[in-house]
Amino acid sequence: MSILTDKYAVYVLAAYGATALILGWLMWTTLAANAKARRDLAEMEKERGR
Amino acid sequence: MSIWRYANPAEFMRLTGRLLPPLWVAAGVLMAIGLGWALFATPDDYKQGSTVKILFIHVPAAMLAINTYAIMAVASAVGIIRRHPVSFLVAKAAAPIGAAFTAIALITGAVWGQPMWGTWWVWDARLTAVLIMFFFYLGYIALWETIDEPEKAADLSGVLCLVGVIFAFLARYAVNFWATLHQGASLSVAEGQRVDDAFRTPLYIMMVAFYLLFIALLLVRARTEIRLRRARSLRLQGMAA
Repeated sequence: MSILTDKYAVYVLAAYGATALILGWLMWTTLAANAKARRDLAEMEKERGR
Repeated sequence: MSIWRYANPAEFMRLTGRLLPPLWVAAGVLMAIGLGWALFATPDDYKQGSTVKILFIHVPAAMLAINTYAIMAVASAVGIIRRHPVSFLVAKAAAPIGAAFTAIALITGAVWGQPMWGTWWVWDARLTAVLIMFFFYLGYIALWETIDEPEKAADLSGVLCLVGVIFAFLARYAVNFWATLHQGASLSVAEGQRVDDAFRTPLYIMMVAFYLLFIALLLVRARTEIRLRRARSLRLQGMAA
């Protein structure tokens, strides 16, 4: 019954692992791009205000 | 009050800034509950064994893969017809998310198919339609990246997105049109319940969690696009001055 000892464990773990990797990459790139865009825009608006 | 008020970038930023924190929290909490329930509190299927647990990520990912494409198509059509810049931005922001969910659906499906069907892949109508839809996602993203002028990129990628709608439609309904190896709808009101009660509630929780995650990611990516546009506009104003 344990998903770690079942004969299909490798398939279940591979599916969840691949999903975690793809979602993790998606969230990381999304948040990083947003943070960079916010920083760049703030910098630009600051320069424009000078 | 008109819905088009929210197509105004400033209004969009204000509203989504308030919506995002509770969305992230709700998605995270539901994902944790759904995963815990799915992995540790559901029984193995009498035929599929523990591979049935792949259902809890495959079904929500596949639904989002198709529905995201539908959202992109509607946003592209609205953008082309009404010339609302936020519509194009929403379509552009949704594409990488839809592509990621399509990749998850394809990979988890293949990983489930190997022990259950005896093969990683078959050229089944639904599988093939989803694969072609994935290529449309990649083409759409590539088109945006290769054209410098945003208005031109928006129009051309919008048209490409509308052309690919047929594959999103086939990905959803191929199992109704042809006798495919892929089983029919996992959840169907019209044809009776296909998933046992033991699996249904955690599946619903995972579906809601995936949808909330999708909305949060979409809003963040749309906000990024608005900021990039604003920065571009300031750069052009600076060059003109």
